[in-house]
Amino acid sequence: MPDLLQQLAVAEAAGLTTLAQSEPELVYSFRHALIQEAACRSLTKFQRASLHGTIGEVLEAVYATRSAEFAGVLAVHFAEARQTDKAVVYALQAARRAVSLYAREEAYELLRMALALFEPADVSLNHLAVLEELADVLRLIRGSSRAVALYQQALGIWEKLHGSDPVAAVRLHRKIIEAGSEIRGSVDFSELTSRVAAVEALRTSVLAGLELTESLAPHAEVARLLMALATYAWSVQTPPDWDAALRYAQAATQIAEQLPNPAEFSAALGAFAATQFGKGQLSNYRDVALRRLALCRVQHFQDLPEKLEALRDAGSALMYTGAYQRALDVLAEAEDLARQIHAVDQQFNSLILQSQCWLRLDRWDQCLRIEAEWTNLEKRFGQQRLGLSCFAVALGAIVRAHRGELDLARSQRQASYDAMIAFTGPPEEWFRNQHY
Amino acid sequence: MAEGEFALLPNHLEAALQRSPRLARYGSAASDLDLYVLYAELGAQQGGPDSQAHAVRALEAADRLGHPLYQAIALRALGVAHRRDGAWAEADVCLSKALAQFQAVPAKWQAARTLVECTKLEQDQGHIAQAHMTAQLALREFVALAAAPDAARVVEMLRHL
Repeated sequence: MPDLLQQLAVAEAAGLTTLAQSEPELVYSFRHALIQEAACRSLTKFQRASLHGTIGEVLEAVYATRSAEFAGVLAVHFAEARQTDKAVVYALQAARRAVSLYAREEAYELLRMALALFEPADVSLNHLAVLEELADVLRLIRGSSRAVALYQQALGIWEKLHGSDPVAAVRLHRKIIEAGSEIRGSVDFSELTSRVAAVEALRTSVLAGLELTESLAPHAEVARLLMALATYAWSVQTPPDWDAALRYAQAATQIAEQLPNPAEFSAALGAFAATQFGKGQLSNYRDVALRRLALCRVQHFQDLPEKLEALRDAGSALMYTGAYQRALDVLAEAEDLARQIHAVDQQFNSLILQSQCWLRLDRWDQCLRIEAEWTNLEKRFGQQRLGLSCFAVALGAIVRAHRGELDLARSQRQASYDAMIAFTGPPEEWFRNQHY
Repeated sequence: MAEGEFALLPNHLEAALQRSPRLARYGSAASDLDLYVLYAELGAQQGGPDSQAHAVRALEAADRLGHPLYQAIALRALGVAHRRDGAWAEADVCLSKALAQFQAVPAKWQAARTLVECTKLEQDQGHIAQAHMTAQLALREFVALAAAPDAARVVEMLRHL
């Protein structure tokens, strides 16, 4: 330590560094970033890696009780030191923390750095974990098609790790199906066919995986896989197979109801509610959605993203059954929660559902207020984060037409139509909603 | 629908009915009921031999669900169909119920559109003074809503009353 202090004094006297802070800890800064860069370049690769390793170990020891806080820094030092195991542990820890704080891009960068530490042929649980979590984060930033490829890579590793946890395979299959369903709702028509075909090819193996899990005791992963299959059956399969979706959703609710975490049951009810809509049972749809919401409103329910889904779904169900005022109350709550947890796509969706309610109530002033809000959101976050806005634009066109602002109505109508064509292809490819 | 494409509406409705409904996260899903109500609206605007049947189908579906707005739209469409058939008493009952229901929702533009249909019924029955008053009520609502095209149509209607 005295040796280090002497060296720091020399560097400071030479004008290379400056004492930035003396309490509670000594902090020195380089006078210029170029000085730092030159100092680093003067080291050999080996020296640099060794120094990063030493710094990582010192930080680990000094901040032993605050490792979560320093996990990102530790991950970088151990990655530079090529200490893969430690780097991966801290990168995963830091990425999870970043996701919980909605710093998704930061989580993405940390996991990409961790992934670069592995050879592609590396067969290890760490490699599998990094691939899976990177794919999870990609889905949060609308990169579902890349996520599918990473999950597939992780499954490949799982297959080579003979005797590893079968639940992990169920989970990876489930995530592939979920990501495949997300692709269906997020890509241009021109990209869709090939991507959906890739996901479709996996379906047989997923069903085989499902059969393998039948002997397992009720497990959250089995319930989640069934939910994913239910969604897949109506959102990806063409034409939608509502009977299959209903079977999967019912099976998921039966399993999820036995699980200790109410969020699992809530999500299963969500899948079940969607199948009720598809079967034309709108009263049942509303009842199931409201049951789900009641489950999420109890005091000890802590899964905020799930609560948000429940609010949005209940608002939607109330709207479709004509209870517009109640729908608006629930959707305003959804919008607030979405803002609170930085779920901008859900915030956008809640706004559009509110706009639909206001349109039905002939409150065009409110529709235009909401249009200003969602266009601001789109400017801030981009369509990639928010999702398609063709329907929202069409609502604006309707209001303008009612008000006699025909030029604006025409241009909005055209913009909405063009976006729909880009998304779903020509009218012969349209679903019911596009014709509607 | 943009101008000139209104005639395509039945084609889109038929195509929509033949396809399965799906919930759409960022758009609007369409249930059978949504489509029946659109058919009923279309029948009320364009007439035609099936307009009453479309209105009845929409009303039954809306009643089953207890959907107040759609019940009112279907009732108005049924009222218009009755008026076209010269069944004035039935038309009056349907339009009055529809008007009350729109006011309860509340859906002011829809209520004003219903007042326009009431005006036409009163005109058909030769109750011109009453028709004039009803049209004035509709006009007032349209102006308050800044519904310029509808207001212009009522002004035109008043000129010929």
